[in-house]
Amino acid sequence: MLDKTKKIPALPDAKLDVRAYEAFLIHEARLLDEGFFDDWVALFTDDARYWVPIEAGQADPFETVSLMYDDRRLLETRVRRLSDPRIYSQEPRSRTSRTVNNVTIEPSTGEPGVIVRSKFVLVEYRREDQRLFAGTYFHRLVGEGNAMRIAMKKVELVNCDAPLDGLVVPF
Amino acid sequence: MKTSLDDMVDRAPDGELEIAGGVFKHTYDGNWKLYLENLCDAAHPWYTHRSSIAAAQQQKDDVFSDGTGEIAIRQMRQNGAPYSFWENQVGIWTYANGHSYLGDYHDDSKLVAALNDPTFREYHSAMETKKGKAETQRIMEVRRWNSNFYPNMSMMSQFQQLRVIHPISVNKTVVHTYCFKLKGAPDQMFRNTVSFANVVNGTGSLVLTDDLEIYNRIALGLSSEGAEWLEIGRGFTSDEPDPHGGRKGKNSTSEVYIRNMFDAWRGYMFGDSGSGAKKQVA
Repeated sequence: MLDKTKKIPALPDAKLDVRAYEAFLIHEARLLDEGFFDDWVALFTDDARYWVPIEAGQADPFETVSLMYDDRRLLETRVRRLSDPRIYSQEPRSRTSRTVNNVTIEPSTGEPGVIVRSKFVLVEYRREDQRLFAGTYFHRLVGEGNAMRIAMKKVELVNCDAPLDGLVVPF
Repeated sequence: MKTSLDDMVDRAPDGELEIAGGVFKHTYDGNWKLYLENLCDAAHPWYTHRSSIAAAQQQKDDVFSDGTGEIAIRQMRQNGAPYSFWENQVGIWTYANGHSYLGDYHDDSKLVAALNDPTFREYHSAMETKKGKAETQRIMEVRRWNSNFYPNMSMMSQFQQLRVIHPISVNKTVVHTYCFKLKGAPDQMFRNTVSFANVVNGTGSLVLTDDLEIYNRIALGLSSEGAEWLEIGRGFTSDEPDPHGGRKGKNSTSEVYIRNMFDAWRGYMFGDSGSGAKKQVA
């Protein structure tokens, strides 16, 4: 059933230049597609979190399980594992292709940085099987010196509550 | 097996469990039996989970964690106990009708009830207030890893996890996993349960994904015509009777629990009680 209580999204903030954020997201997607996972982690702040909820509209990652929920420490371990030769779930490696679009800047939540919302499509091919994922990214991006960093990345999959085979490559 | 079910409830200070925290649903292209065969297998973590063990061992502990990563990394490191430990110090017990349980292998103070952890201290005192000192001690000394209720359920009483196995077809399985909140326990206990579920039962877990991969590979291997028989013989000559009426492995890595499940399966298929079940009492 449609949720009639939902508020209509606010119009994007025209004062901020969305293109700089879009360029960042495209760069991030490329790092993931091309397997530069260590460089991907380097985009995150020291206290960053990475979250893939398992329920639509999931309120938090603490009272409900998540497909992935990593603080910085677990994110580093997740990525280190990806380069271990004995990661059997990546033997053979997945090939992925991501498209990021519909980039908008969302109203501030009061936390530092800018919330950038985007749509993504991710195709994963591995061992004669192709999987399709799609959904919404929310990035909270903060400036560190001249660089842009990810303080929070939330990935809302349209099929988050479907039965799924293992998810190994980050979204 | 009753002791495993009791243990699930005994650990709640108020004597009640609440199902909470959402449901993982994972699937693989393989037979449902493979899942149960893995859950009481003490031989595989050292090999199958090598990548997450190594990654967790190399992780610096001074990097930011809100508690989630800490629990997960501790669990992965525990999987890295030496093979001799898995073989000698865990324990595998089997009972009629295909049931079995694997003993626990945790000695990490964050993962098992240890009084130097503030959350556990609070929990322990809630337990003592409600159940008394002696009963609390008895409950804390019940140490189980997975208890398999053949043919479709497995639980971890000590860590408040339950899985239900749904066979979809001969080579397709869906598993639903659930968490329980211990009524009367500190709120932080349930947060730890959620973090623990993410690492042991999560679809995107650094650990479970290698298990799912192996189920898929076994199914792929079985679809070839190269081998007519599967050998499930580890420990066969050394299994011994258990005082409670079942059989146990001399080593914890014995496949006695798989042979036990096939005995029950044979019983269901032929309509008798299975050759193994006849020899065993309750």
